[in-house]
Amino acid sequence: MIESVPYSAVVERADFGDLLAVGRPSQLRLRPVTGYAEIASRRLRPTEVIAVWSKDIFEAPSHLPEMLVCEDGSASDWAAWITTYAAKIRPFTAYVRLLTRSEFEATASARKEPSLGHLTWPGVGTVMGEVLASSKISDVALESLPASSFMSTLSFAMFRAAALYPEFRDWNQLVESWDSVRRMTGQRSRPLDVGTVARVVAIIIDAAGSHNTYELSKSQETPLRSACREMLRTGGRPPSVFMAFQAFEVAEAQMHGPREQRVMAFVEFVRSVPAVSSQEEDLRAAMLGYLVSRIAPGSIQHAQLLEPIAAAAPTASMWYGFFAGLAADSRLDLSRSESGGLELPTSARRILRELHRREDFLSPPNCDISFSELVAIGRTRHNALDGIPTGTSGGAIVELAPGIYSTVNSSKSAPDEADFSRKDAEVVSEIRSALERLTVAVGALVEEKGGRRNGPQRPLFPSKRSKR
Amino acid sequence: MSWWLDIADLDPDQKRAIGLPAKGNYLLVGPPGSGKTNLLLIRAEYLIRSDMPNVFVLMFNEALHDFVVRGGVHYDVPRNKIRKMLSWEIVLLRENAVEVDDLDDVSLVEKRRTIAKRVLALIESKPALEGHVDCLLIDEAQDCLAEEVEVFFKCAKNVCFAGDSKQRIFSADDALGLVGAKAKKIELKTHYRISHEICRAADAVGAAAGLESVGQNCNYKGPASAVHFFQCSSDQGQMEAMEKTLKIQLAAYPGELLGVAAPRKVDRDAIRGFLESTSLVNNLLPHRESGSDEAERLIYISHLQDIKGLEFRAMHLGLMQHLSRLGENQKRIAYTAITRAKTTLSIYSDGNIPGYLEKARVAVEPPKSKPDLADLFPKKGKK
Amino acid sequence: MDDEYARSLAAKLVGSTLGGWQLTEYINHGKSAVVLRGSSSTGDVAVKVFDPALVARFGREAQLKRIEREKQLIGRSHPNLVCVFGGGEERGYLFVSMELFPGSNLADSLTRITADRVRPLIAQIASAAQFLESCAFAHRDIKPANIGVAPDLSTAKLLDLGVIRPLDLSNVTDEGDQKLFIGTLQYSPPELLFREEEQSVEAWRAITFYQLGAVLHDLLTLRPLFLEESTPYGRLVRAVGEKSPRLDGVGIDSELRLLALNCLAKSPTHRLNTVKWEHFQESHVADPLDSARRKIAARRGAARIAAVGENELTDQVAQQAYSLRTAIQAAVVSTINSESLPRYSTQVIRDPDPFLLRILFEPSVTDGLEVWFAFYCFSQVVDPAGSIHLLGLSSCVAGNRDQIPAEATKEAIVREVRGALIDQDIRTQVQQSLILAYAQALQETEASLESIRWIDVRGEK
Repeated sequence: MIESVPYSAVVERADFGDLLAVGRPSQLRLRPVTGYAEIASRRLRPTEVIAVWSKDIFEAPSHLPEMLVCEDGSASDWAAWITTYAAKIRPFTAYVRLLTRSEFEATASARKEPSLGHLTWPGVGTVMGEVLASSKISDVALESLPASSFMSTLSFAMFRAAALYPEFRDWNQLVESWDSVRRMTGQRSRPLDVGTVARVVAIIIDAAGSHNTYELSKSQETPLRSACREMLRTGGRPPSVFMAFQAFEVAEAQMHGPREQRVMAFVEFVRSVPAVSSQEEDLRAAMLGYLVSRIAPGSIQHAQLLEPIAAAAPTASMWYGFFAGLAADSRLDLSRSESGGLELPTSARRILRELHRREDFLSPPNCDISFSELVAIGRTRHNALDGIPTGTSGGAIVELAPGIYSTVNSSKSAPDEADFSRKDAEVVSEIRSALERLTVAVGALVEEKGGRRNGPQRPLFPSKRSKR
Repeated sequence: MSWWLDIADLDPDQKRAIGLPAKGNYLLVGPPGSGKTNLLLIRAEYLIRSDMPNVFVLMFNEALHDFVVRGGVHYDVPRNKIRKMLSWEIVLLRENAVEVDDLDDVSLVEKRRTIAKRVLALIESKPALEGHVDCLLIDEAQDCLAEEVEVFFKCAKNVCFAGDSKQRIFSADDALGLVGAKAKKIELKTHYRISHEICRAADAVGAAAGLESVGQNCNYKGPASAVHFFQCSSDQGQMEAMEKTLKIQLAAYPGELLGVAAPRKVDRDAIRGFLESTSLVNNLLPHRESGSDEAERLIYISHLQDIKGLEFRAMHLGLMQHLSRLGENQKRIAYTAITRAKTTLSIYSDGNIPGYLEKARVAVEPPKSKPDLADLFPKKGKK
Repeated sequence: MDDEYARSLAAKLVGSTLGGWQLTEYINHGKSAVVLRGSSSTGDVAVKVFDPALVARFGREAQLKRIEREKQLIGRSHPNLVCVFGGGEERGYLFVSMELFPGSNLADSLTRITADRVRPLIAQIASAAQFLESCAFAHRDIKPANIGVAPDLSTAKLLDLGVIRPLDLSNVTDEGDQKLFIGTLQYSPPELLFREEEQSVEAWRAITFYQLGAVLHDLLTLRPLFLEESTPYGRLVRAVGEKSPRLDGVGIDSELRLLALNCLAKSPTHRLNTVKWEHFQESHVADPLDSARRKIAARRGAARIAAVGENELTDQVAQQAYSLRTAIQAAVVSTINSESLPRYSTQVIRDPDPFLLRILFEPSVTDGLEVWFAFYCFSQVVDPAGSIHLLGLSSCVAGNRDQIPAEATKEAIVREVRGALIDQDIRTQVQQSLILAYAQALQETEASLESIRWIDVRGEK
């Protein structure tokens, strides 16, 4: 990514103030380093950083450096130091990137045009699925949610990493950063636990190839992983791992008729899906997501069918999103959307825009604050975002790793509905009531069918609501 | 309700329709589902934005008017610009102090004709009124009277009509012929709304009513379709089957309108009464209202004559054994009712349906394997 | 014979010679014989030596007769048939010597078969079986365990000619093993299992087709036929007699799937009606002008109507015609929508049986279609009892609408499929033909078209 470094210098802590001084470049005792290779190889003392400018500072003297590169392991120390002693420009990571040497090297290999390849729409779908799973909002509202709601998800951060870097390595670090940002900034806790989301996204990203995410998914090869791989290869045909379950096979066979029939087949599947061991819960959730995605392939409009079983299969809607994206992308008639066009909500294009956004590491950052600075500030405050100015009201963009962003809510007024501004909250409440109704309707269906057969055929996922 | 008009996916006729200049007189004709009403309303949007504020959309059909105004479909046309045809004329007369309250005793057609004549007389006496409207956009033009057509041409600088000769239910003058002589005709051949299977059923009925095929020009693109004929001797049984299917459809087609209609008002009321006693009560739209602020109210209940111009993802026609009570226009009424369905059509009866509807059943149902002898003979003495 | 016994028998034999071959090492063993490597100055062979104890128990004469039959193939070679060099009896041992095949058998390497290998492999085995038929033999036990595949999976050979049988009818009496079940139950058609096979070339061909279909099934699904039903024995018998194997799995080539299903039909007549030797070879295309075949099938259908009772059959025809019609319409609509083809109109020209649908596309500037383009789907229930259907697809372009006929004419280039068609076949066939034809129609310009032109919808490779 970084091909040439126009101007750079090693700066000592003692001289740091000169970096910030306007119009006094001559006071900066510069020891120029030239070129990318030298920055990458130059050993630094803990009290030294390399400042990198995109322009000659003698021609643009008021210009802050675009980037500070410090030794590996000293980023948090530098963040703490700068935040403390250069409080005037806090948050300084809104203007200057602070990178470790390894991060600097990684940016060199980052893609000029970030791309998810085969995972493009499936990735976007998964992000939407996480929003559905995390917020209990109906798919109807996906159209009108702001981009920041999608950018607040863990899957967004992970897919962004996969899109930007051809071979991203610090998956564990990324997930931990995402989680601590949310805790430090007092975000509403989400029903899906972070490890679960990370596992699902890891399986998906790994199935596409290039990235090794085993450290997150905790195992080398699972049936689900091979199923995903098979599906990405075949364009979403039902994988043999799923077809091995008779109940799935039966339901799948029904997914060609009118939607009424498909809904019934899904409800029947929910009733008869075989009990699985806890290791296979992901597999079951994926099958549920797959079948729902087959009701109207390529679109996301039946998430409410997963609502009554959300407790038993919390990741099902993430899988739903994944498969919907897969179908939206596919050229195969079996899983292709009926109209032949992209049926995902329009916000899908917005998510894609953010996932594929070009990152110029030699221009000022696109965030409000970076993770390391947020951590430094958070150590002395209850909410790390208190008093931090942000680009838009109510929300802040945090850079988790170079070029990888996550949004958090920074407004104090509505801590519980952290992800949505007030206008959206109205939409959500409107949708919620619709959701309740549908949940009852589907729940009643499940019960109605279940009621006739007694004994061992009890529904595996009992409806959350009692019969009206 | 989803918006079908995708600028990237228009057929040549639709492209011609959206490419029309702001000025001029036009007539859009096409089968149900060809997008006439949509094009008309979007044209209104475009005209208002292009600085022709004095524009009215006139709808003949009350149900459709309510449907559009209540937000059953989302258009950026201010609600006060969408008017019922008759009330628009009456307002015009009242504003000019012409008596209109003396017409309660006459038939509707008579009343319409008289009012149109009074408007014409008014314009005669006040030439300033000629062309006082920038544009009038008239839907369901096939049901206009000759005098009304004249009123529109007189009052507006530009007119745009939309209509379909096949959907003419009320006997009226050949309005489309009159308009066609004075306006540029845009023919929308292809329709997209009604599924192939439903077209097959509609064509079986349409053939009996002397109408040409709609199936031929069907380019339906929606979800997989089905037509079902339910037979149950008791009304209760028919309505229970309907209830069950409606519940599934609420889940299968989230946010989409579902229609329920029956031949007579008394049949409609029976069905409404039944559905109100079920858990679907909160899903029903209030009587005679086709839109609601409550998002879960998606089931519209009506009688057959009252659903012209509307469209539903799934349509239920109940208690259809009473269809024969509707008199001479019943074939066209049945045809219109069938073509309200986009994807799923369910027809319920006790088995005694008119021959033309029976033809529709034969056209769409798989042949029965072994006909039960009892089925071959009509059950006599049983109602 | 168990492993230990086989090895001890082999140990006794190694070092000796049989038929002029020096036996050098043990290779493997079957139920009744061990196979050893035989060497000579001209190269190595496989020598199959029958267990003397078993030979004694079950009849030396019968076994000798089989060996004699195998020897009839000496000098008649086919690249996919194991070559027999000799055989007979020496020092009390009955033996056959044959080509040494370096690969493993198909049953063991089944899971390594990739989709692109299926067609060449089944084509090779079928050609070997056809060769045997031309030599007036039926193999009778074609199954994956009797098929050798080269290590690179490129070639296959039909092995184990031990149960071949002459087709010559006069030889019926010499069958010493009439009562014994020959062949492997799991891979045998019901008529062989129940000993109901007729003695004719066609009857044996029907059996061969079934067994080829079973092998094809395994190649396509990568699992043995009736695996779930293989035990207990009674269950397997019932499966062979009644159960239709499922092949509607994913990623399966529809042409091969249809071929396998037609081969695996329970009724031998059905097999013969729907399967031809050439179907096993690379992407066969039916001869569109083969009206003779159509007539034969139609007559057969008519004969059945007379036999079965008119009403019942009329019902069947009506039902099957309905399924064909709905499948064709669904296939056409889904193809048009998913491929975003231009606006069209449809006309049902014939209904219900035969059914003929014409889809007409008008010239569309924005789609780049300069001419009128028509696509015809024809279907007919050929044999309702055997569920044999005919699907004919053709397509034409013309400069103006009036030139387009209501029905495909004699000059039409037709893609024709015949057999027990299910929705998936129809979907695949319609989709392929329509897309191929449309792509060709886009090449035509009004100027280049003087009159109507028929498009090749067959998609030959």
